[in-house]
Order: sequence, then structure tokens, then C-alpha cells
Amino acid sequence: MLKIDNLTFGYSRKKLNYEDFSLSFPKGGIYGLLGQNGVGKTTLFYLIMGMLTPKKGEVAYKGVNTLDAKPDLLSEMFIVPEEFDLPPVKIQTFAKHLSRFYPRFSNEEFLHCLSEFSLSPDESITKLSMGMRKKVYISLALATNTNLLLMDEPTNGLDIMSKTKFRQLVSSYASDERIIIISTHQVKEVENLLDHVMIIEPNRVVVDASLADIADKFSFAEVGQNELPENCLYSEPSVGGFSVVAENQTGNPSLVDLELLYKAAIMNSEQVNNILNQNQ
Amino acid sequence: MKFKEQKAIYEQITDRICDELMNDVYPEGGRIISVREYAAAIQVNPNTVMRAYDWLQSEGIITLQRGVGYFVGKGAKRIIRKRMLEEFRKEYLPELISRINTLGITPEQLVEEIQEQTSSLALPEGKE
Amino acid sequence: MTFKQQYTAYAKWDLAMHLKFYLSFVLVVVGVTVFLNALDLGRELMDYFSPDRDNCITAGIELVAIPVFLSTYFAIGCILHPYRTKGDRILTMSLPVSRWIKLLHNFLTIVVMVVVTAFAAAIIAEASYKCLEMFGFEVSRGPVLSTIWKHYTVTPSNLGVYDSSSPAIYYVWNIVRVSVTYLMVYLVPMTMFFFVNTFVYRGNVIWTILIIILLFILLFFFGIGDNVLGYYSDLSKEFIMKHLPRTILDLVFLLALWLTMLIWGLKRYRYMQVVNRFSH
Repeated sequence: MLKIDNLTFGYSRKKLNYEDFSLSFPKGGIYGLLGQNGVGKTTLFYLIMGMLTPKKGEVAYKGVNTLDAKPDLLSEMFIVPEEFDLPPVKIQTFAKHLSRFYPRFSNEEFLHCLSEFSLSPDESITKLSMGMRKKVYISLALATNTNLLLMDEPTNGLDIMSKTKFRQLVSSYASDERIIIISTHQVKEVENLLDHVMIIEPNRVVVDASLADIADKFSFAEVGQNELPENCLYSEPSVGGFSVVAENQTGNPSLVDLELLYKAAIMNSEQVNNILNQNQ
Repeated sequence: MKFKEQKAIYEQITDRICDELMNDVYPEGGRIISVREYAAAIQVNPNTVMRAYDWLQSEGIITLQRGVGYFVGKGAKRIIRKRMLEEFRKEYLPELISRINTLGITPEQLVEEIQEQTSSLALPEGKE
Repeated sequence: MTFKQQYTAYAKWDLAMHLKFYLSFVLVVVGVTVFLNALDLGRELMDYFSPDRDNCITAGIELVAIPVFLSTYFAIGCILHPYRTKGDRILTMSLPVSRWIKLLHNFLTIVVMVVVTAFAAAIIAEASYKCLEMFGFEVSRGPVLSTIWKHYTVTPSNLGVYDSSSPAIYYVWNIVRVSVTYLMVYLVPMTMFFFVNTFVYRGNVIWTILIIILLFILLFFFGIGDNVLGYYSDLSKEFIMKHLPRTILDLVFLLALWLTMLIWGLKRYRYMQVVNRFSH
């Protein structure tokens, strides 16, 4: 459905952020995009939305190049950026104007999200804190009912209760037609929501796998001092001994620890990928 | 070498639902909340809950009535208890045995210990 | 949505989102105009009260032209300022509206703002003269509103006296004059602000201000287009022949400046992608 094809892009002539980069999101689901600071996750989001012009290659959503910025396609896409700006009006005013552009905008859902986040629609945006404004933005995003939703660090700035609400709302929002891509550092906060995870390093995709696959092929455990397995892909000292990632040889799916997998993927990407590519 | 692995999420969810059933959260033959509602309540991906429901269906613990929803299967508690006993025998006991061997406790000493603690706690008789 | 529906929705959106900004900017422009008017008037008054001068305040063209042009440029800048923050840009760019509508609306808004601020400046100038007259000063001045009107429009009525003895020269003169006027008053500053905004986007307000000052220096202190503006009454052949070469030079210079800004701006503006197609 969403295909990034041989993308080459750089903000300056000297440095290219992406070169012949490809990634695809073939079906609906909640995708996690992980990567270190500055690797270009936000840039990738802007490229997907057609807001930046690549030097080469293209991004196509439902077969149409997003760079064309056709209103019909744009009405199916929405981004909740990390850095954002909302106008100095009342929440409901903003929603009213935005709703005209998104044919499936649901005011009911919008009000539901707002109340879940303990916000009132006739509050003025200027009086809200950053975290509250983020909640407004997220509520709007979910209310547009677009089938492509990008969220850049959505849980940043949300208080603990709101993070829970966020998960509940996103869980309800997911469907087979919808592609939701969440880029985040706070892996633990969205781990259980993800269908699929992509880990990117500068200009390469280190991991592109479903959570089910990861659970089948890797084991994540806490082991004692003398229990480090031979086929250990990554280990680090922990409260209980050592946290370990190894190839799953039990035949049962394990409880995935995405943070550990991330570290294993960064430190030991070759082996991690070999295991992922097995049994294809 | 023994890997103390934690159960996959969908397995934890099936355990949770079985736990709910054993505690009569849903009556026999009663309706279970939808996949989506369950997913939202515990803040996980609906596909994960779907997998859990599928497994419970395959075990006969819950049944699906198309267009209506999921219901508690006939004799669900019996099935669950059977699985719990199996898990007890296949996983908990071997671990226990390994433990007592490490500590040098004989099976007889273990039974004695259990009887002592049971009588002092006055636990109810073993169920059917 | 039909073109009309899309435009209306977008115009309503833009107004609702940026109204406070537009209004506050008009206030700033009006304030600047008042300030400049006061400065110029103060200077005139000092001359008036000096022993050598005659007892008449000459409300020169500067009293009107400078604030009017300043207000024009600031008005243009203010229109493009909604693109000043990244967040606002993201929202506007991803809005499912044809980019032609966005462009058209920007242009129309500029025209409206120019008219509004120019007339606001004119009214202030007129009011200050009236005040002086009320206090008994003798003020020598031309009609303010029609002078401004002449600056912004080149209509048959103000093309001046037509000497039938050498029609060709008049045609050339008027074409050149119209071109210079439009380049100076509309296109050059519009282009400047349109693309210079990339500096502001990058957070470099100093550069923007420096470039604005540079342009003012060029246009006013080097008298570019001077021959064109203000001399509508005297169109004798001798006058035209005397000023035509210089005016054509001004035209060529302005065209070159405009093209340079356009090309350079488009290259930089590629990053912002509002006129996406042209930058490929």
C-alpha cells in the first residue's frame, strides 16, 4: 500500500540522508519505526507525506506518487509531527475548519478522544500546555479517519494517564485498511501496540519484521551468571543477572523485548538478519 | 542450561482470560467482550488479542457465533483445569524437582514440608 | 470538492487560522506608518520654524510614498509569514487542497493586504495634514489618495498627455513605465519575501532584515524607477527622450534582479515545495 522506492534525498548537496533507500508497508497495521537520534525518521515522514522533494526515487501510496500532492490522496493521509504549531483559536474552531478537508472526519470520535484526554472542545488552544496541545493534535488525527497515519514521537510530552489513553485509542483505531506508523524512542510505551517493527540505521533498514516473527525466532530472557547461552546475540547486565537475546530454539514464541532486540540489531545486525531471513 | 523465558503476549492474554473464566467473570455460556474492546482495555494490538481468541477457540474454551460474538464454551472450566494440571505436571513440577535436587531435599522431606504447611494454613480440600 | 468549494474552505481555514496574525501585522504596519509620518512631519516642522524657510509645510512625496511602500512590503511579508513556523508549514502543506488554490489564495491575500495597508497609510497621512491645517499651518500638498492610486495602478487616465506627433515613443514609454511599476511595486518585493522566507524558516531573521534593507536602499536611494513614479503630468517628448534610456536601464536592472531572485529562490525553495512542479 505504501512503498518507498529507491529514495535518494539530502537537505544539502554535501550530505545525503537517504540513498537508494527502499522500504514498504504492504498491508494495514501498526508499524513501529525505531532508530537513533538524527537518523532521519522525521525526514522519512516528511518524504512520505510528499513535503520534501527527493533527488531520486519516489514514495507511492496506493500506487500514486505522494509528491504530486493530489488533494484526493492527501485527504487519506495525516501526520502528527513532533514539532507542531496549532493556531490561536478554540479547539472546536480548528476542528471545524480541518474537518472540511477530510471526508471521513468524525466529530463524534473527535469529542470522544478529547474527553478521554480530559480536554474540552471550547478551550482556547493558546491556554493549553504543550502536552495538552499534543493531545488535541492526536485527537484530530484519529478523528480524520485517514488510512495512512504517521505519528512522530506521539507519546513525548504526554503524562502517564494520557499515555494509557493514547494506547487505548490507537488500539481501537487500528484496522486492516489502516497503516499507522509510529516513530519513537520510547519503545516500551508502544511495544504492545505494534504489528510490525522497522529498525533503521543511517540509510539502511536493519530490521523489517513482524512482532510475531520476532517472537518466534528470538528468545528474550534474564539469565544468571553462568547461564549465558552460546548463541547469544546480545547481552547486558541487569538486575537479575543478564538480559539476553538469543535465537529461539524452544519452538514457542517468546515475550518480545523490543529494546533488547534494538540493541542486538544495532550491535549484531548480520546475525540478527540471518535469523530473521531463515524459514522464509 | 534453562532459559527462564516469559510467555509471549498472546499466551499471557489467554492465561488472563482463562483466569477470568475460572473466577466466573463470565458465566457459563455467557458472552465475552469483543476482540477490539479487549485490546483497547489492555492497550494491545487487536491482532494479538485475535490470536489469543483463536487459540481459545481451537481449545474449545470459547466459541464464536458468527455475527453475534464470542461465548464461553461448554465445559470451559473443565478444559482449563485440565490444561492447568498439564502445565503443572509438565512445567512446574520439573522445575520444583530440579530445585529440591539442587538443595538436596528428598521427595519424602518435600511431602512432609507440604503437609506441615498445608495443615497450618488450613487450605480447602483438593477440588474435583 | 469543486474548485469553488475547495477555495472557500481553504480561504475560511486560512482566515480562521491566521486572522489574529494578519490583524496584528496590519497594526504593526499602521504603527510604523504613523511613526515614519511623525518623523517626516517633525522634520518638516523644524524646517518650518527655522528662520530662513517660508511658512509653508511641503508635504513631499516621501511623506506618502515611503510609508506606503513600506506598508506594501511589510504586508507582503506578513502574508507569507504564516509559513514562518515549521508546524504551520506542515499543516498547510499537508492540507488536502490543490496547491494552485493555495498559491492563488496567497496572491489574492497579498493584493488585499496591499490595498488595505496602503489605504490605511494614506488615511493616516491625510489625517496628519488635516491636523496641521486645523492648527493653522499652511500645508502644500498633492491629493494623497489619488497619488497612492497612481502609484499602484497604471490606467489609461493617468498615462498622461498623449502627443500624437510621435506615438511610438509614447507606447514604448508607457510599456516600460508599466513594467517598471509592476516589477518594483509587486513582483520584486513579492518574490523577495516569497523566497526570503526560507531564511526565516531556517531561523535567520537577521538575513531577512538585511535583505529588506538592501532592497530599500537599491530602490529608493539609487532612484530606481524614480522617473516612472510621480511624473504623470509632464509627458513632453523632450522629457521622455531625456528619461527613457535611464528608465529602460532601470527596467533591465529590475528584471535581472527579479529573475535572479526567482531562480535562486526556486532552488532554495525546493526544500519547501510549495511550487513543487516548477522546481523539478
